[in-house]
Amino acid sequence: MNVFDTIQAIRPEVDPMPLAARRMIRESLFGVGHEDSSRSFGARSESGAVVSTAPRGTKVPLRKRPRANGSLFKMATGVVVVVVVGLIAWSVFSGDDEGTDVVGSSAPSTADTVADEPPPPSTAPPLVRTGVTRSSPLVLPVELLAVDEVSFAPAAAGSSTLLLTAPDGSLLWMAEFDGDPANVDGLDVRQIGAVGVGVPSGGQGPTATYRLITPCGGAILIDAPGAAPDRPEVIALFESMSVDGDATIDVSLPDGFSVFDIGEAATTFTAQFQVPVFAETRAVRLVQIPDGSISQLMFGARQLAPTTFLGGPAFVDAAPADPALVSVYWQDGRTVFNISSNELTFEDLQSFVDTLEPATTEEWTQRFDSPAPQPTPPGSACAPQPSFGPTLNP
Amino acid sequence: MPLTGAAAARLYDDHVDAVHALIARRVGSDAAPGITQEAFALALRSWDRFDTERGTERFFLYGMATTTLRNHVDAERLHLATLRARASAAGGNVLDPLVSGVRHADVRVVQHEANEDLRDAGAVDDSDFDPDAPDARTMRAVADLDPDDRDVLLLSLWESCPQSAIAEALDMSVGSVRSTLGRVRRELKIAVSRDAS
Repeated sequence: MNVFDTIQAIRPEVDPMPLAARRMIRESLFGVGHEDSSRSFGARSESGAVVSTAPRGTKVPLRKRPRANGSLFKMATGVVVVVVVGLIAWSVFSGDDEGTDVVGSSAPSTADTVADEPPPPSTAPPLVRTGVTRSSPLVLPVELLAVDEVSFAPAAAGSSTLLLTAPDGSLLWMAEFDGDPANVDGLDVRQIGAVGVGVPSGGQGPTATYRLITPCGGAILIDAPGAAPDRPEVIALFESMSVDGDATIDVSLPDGFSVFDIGEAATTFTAQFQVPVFAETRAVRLVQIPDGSISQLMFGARQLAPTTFLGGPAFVDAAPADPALVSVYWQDGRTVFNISSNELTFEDLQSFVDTLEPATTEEWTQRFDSPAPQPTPPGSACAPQPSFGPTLNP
Repeated sequence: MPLTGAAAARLYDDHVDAVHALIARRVGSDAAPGITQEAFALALRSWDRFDTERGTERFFLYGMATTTLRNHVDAERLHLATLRARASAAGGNVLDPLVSGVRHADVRVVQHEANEDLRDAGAVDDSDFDPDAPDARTMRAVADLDPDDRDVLLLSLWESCPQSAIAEALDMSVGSVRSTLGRVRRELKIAVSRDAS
């Protein structure tokens, strides 16, 4: 251990500023008012997070989890899933419809567990469990952990993602994306109500996927894993859909449908860490999207179940392709997070997140010696490009 | 032009915890709230020095906090002695880096007196302290650093500030920060080796 490591290792832990002192200082500086967020639960969580990080050089206090036989296989499976999701993303946003087949091949065949609660009310103050702020919207481990994968993906130009809850409680994922004039090669296109809908010419895989035809770019809808192709709920949804002359996609949601989540695409930061657990390390993948949405984070057919993570609302992947995978989604402030591992428990992941520290994008790139995130590349010159309309995105 | 109103309140809400944590690490939790208030007052008064093109609010505030801490050297010294006493009471294995330096050759008078006061009051028990432990030697060397160098070092190692942020906070060039950290590393290494021998 060199001298700098030694100094880092004894970084003193300090207690959070007492709320009373925090409020007193605030009022002495600004008077009473100015939307005092220190009076909200969210602010209290934020104040705790800043000082709850482990001192440098200490090990993350994770509980050891018995490893099942064939964990390497599970790990490899997880990597395959990641690659497949990446391929889906690439194919969707590049207009390559062959990707729809890949969705089916990687999805589980059943979806017994579905989201049965609406998302937290939008009027609730944002709960900040990680200490992220507008200026430090990301989190990083305090320690310099080994990483297997580091990447960031600029926001896809003009893209938005949407999650709809169907009457049976299942989640339908939808995305609209900019692009060149719609390419329908490999699709069987038919008219459903007022819109054109394409499905893979070779037939649906285990997860039914539909392409909404728009003048430029397009929109894709992925049904819940295991749902029957052309099930009545999906047909009813398309029958209620319209695409106007500006390529605005609107839906008069059929009875029983509701918007679970919607958001515009934002830059994604991904890192897979090797987290020390006793004498070994475990792979943990952390995806962060400042100003993003849960629907973008999910990217594809997933079914979510509500849970409580670090004292606040969150969701877990209820039917992951890899049964050993624990995958948690939540929002803090303006950042959405997904942490997943097939080698750690839910509680372990919670412990790990509790040790993370807010970071700026500059700190993120410096930590990994990564190039700075680039602005979103310009989209296609084709017009009009699709967008979700006010019925979906009020 | 000072920063006022809702924008100032938002600045405070976003960063008060981080600024308070920095200050508490240097002077302890008791003195930290008051100094945090001073740091924010200074930051709001000096807001015209903040260059939105160049830096971030967080690191500008770190600079204000570091500047304010210079006015509280006595509080910092007293905190060091208190930490030293607490570490001793806990078994002496976890030592504040600067306090460990108090015990040896270059004892600063105020620190020494503070320690003596605490010892007289029964708060300090040196029996478990190993002054020759490698960590203690390293931290003694840190305590002996020039205060300007120590600010750079602790912003880097305790607050995880990148070099560009330290430059912003302390109104230095990035090159100066880099050369300072390199020089401090060499000095510490030499000091620790010399102490060991």
